[in-house]
Amino acid sequence: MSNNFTKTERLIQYIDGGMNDAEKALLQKELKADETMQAELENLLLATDIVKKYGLSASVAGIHKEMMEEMNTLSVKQPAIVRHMPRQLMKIAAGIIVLLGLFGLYQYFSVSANGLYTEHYNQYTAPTFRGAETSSSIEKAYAEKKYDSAIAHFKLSTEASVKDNFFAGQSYLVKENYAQAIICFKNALNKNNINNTNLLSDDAEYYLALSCLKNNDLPQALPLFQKIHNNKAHTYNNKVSYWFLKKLQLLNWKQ
Amino acid sequence: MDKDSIYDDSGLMDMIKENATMGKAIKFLYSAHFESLSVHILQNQGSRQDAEDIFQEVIVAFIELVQRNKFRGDSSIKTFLFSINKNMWLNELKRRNRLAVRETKFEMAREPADAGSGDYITGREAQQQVLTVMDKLGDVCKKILLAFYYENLSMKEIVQTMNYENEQVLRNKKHKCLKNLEQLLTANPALAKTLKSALQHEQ
Repeated sequence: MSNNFTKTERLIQYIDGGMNDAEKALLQKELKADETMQAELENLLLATDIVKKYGLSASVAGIHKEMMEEMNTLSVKQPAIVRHMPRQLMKIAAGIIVLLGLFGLYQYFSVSANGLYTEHYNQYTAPTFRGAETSSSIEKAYAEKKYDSAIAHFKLSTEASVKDNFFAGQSYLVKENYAQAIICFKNALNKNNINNTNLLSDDAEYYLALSCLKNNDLPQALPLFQKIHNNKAHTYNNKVSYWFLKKLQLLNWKQ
Repeated sequence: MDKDSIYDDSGLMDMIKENATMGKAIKFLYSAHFESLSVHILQNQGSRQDAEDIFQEVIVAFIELVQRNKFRGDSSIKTFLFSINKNMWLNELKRRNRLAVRETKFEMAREPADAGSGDYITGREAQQQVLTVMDKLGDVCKKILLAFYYENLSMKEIVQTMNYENEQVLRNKKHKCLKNLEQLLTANPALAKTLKSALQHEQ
């Protein structure tokens, strides 16, 4: 055992460079003749390599930890502002675009002349009939909700006034004869122009536009609604909103 | 300031060979090359943690090659590190037994930037075995052996730092510690073979 220990000591001394040339030569000679000794030397050399590897790994691990902490601190500070914020904004923007797209598609497929007409049509209420002095038979019949009678009187009249045409137009609307309603409202507006009067002109314009809409005549309806929307003093200005006009345009494209 | 302009390749290699300047060189390698090397791992199924772990192994391997004069400088340090990094990551992917298709793709993409870079692959398993074997020695033996064989301190310097009576007592202790380590290897030939292969003992 002590012999083995001496041999080991000599091998370690050899590895550590603690032998003179003569001692080295003698050991190398012994090594050639002794395979067990060779194996021991190899394992001792491997042991020193393991120690070096362990030392280097530990040193690098220490620096690694320090450097990673430093680098991760820097990368946390910067990208949080420079990179992630735009990504968040991009996500929000993309979400908004998708929602707008879906909203647009919904509007495109849901908008209709009937729908817009129903939303905006309210039957015109005639002023209370108090006597025969200023009211025609047409206006009187309309006020009494005798729409067929109002139309009959209108057809028999030889010289229909602005009011006659207007109430005849309203009667045709109630009876869902939109083409005739359009003619009557146009006549009312023309007569105002000729007579240089302004009788029921805002009402006639609005109901003419609605009649055109219901009659699917958007090229006529759109300019009329646009005119009403642009004129803040128009009686029906608040009825024709920006979004209502956009829906009409969408409907126009659709058609 | 351009980090690459601080030290040139030959200056860095000189620093790595000296214990006193090696730490500074390692820090420089981290700040100059970690981010660019991690991109390859992040783009090939790896995580940030994988990139960090592999880079640590790359640095250990590179220092060993430089210290053994096995890095001949046929390519730049940057190219050489990239090559080791790529090969180590490929090895790690193999170890994880991932898709065979990806393995083939990586093999095809393998570029031998400098002789030795492809062959020098130290697996994490071998690294773990080194740690396990050393931990079996105990703290005192670890300190003595590291001081002598890794830090290259003289027996006189170690005696002063570790409070031994004299150099002979310390020398005897060191011999016993190294013998203990050698016996651990002798008792486990398979372990010795694996470590020998991993540490490129046949140099």
